[in-house]
Amino acid sequence: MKKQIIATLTLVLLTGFVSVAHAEIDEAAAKKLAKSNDCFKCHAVDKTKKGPAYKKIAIKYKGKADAEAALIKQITTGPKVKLEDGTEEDHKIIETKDKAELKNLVGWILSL
Amino acid sequence: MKLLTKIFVSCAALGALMSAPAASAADLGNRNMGREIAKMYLASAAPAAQAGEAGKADAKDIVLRGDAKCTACHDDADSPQLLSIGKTRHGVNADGRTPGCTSCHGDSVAHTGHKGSSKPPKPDRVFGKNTATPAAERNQACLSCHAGDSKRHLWAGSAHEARDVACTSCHQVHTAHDKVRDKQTQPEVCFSCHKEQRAQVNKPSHHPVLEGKVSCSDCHNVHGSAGPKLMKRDSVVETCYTCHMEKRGPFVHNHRPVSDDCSNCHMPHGTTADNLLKARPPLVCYQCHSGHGTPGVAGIAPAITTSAKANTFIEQGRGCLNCHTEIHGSNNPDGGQKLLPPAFFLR
Repeated sequence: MKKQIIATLTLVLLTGFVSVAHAEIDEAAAKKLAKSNDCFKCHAVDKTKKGPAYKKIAIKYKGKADAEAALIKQITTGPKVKLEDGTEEDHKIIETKDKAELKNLVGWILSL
Repeated sequence: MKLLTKIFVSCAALGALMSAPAASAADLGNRNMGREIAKMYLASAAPAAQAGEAGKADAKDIVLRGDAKCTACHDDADSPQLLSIGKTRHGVNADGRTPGCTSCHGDSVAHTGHKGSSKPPKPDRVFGKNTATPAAERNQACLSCHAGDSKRHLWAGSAHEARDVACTSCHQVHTAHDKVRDKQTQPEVCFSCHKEQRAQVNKPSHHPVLEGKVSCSDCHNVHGSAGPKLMKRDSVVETCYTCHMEKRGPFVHNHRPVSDDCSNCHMPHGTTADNLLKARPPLVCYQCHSGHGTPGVAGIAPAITTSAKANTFIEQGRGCLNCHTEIHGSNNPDGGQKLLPPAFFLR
């Protein structure tokens, strides 16, 4: 009986965790923010344009603890970046300061 | 002993034969699994690898000739709707006359050469709703090819041109379905400005515009015409006769307003009176004619001294058309009835 209760509780907790993990990233909102900031002019999900594909970025930062912070820094400070054609220019600074929105966008990129 | 040896050899051979397929099957299984794993690995690594290769390669045209200049940024990731131009006649690359992006939007050197994180300047010609490009300049982009078309050669000086209507006010170029070129959806485009006509076609008696059987462009040439009201033909009557040819005549007795302008009596888009009439008979007739027997005053009842002709006073339920059936023109030779002048439009 005790085992059954523990198993049930574990299942419930796991289900909750999974659903929370999914709810964390709002893909539509992330894409909308990226679109409104013209991110897709230089980036695509799986194709290299002026900038690297988001999937390539996700692979690059996979497993790195500071991935989120590094990406947020990249899009909020506008450092010099090297484009695929070899030239350099300032990265666009995103037009939002809402941390939740930024986190959601970066989370979506890293989830690809 | 020999027999035993033979049996042993046969068994060994059989065993070898039986085990061979099994082994190969197992091997195959292993190989397949290996392939699957390799496939999975490749699938996960492919986008990044492809991305890297694509980045190194020069950008290629996606839809139109020379569009790489634009689609390097405005591709399916950024503006997928723009690529729908490939579904239109403008996107037929086999036709040497079809334009590229810069044919309409201009070379836009400042736009394409922009560097940095700020917003790039707009292209030379922008066609959106809130564009700063003047209508005449936008239209020039279209007219550079379409000015010679037989239906558009009267655009200059036409009502729409004079009121700064741009081609893109009505037409959508980057879409497979241009609403204004589809009979079913065209009226909605026209009604977005012509609201009075929208109200009229919703009245009980109307041309079947909403039903999709008649569209605005069946009667009007919105690109300019020699006739009034941008009619397709040189006059209102000529345009109406293209469908209502039985009203054209020639008749022995013509009803002059008919051959002058149908809209003397009819409201072509719609009315509350039958047959698209501006008012019900006899009122529509009274705009020009007076009632029978009493000059100038309609509907006055006959007195006891009224002559025998007074039966025409009673206007047959006020329906002029009960007797004057051939109101658009009559071929009645009068049949020798002296009392009825020939041009009474009787059957």
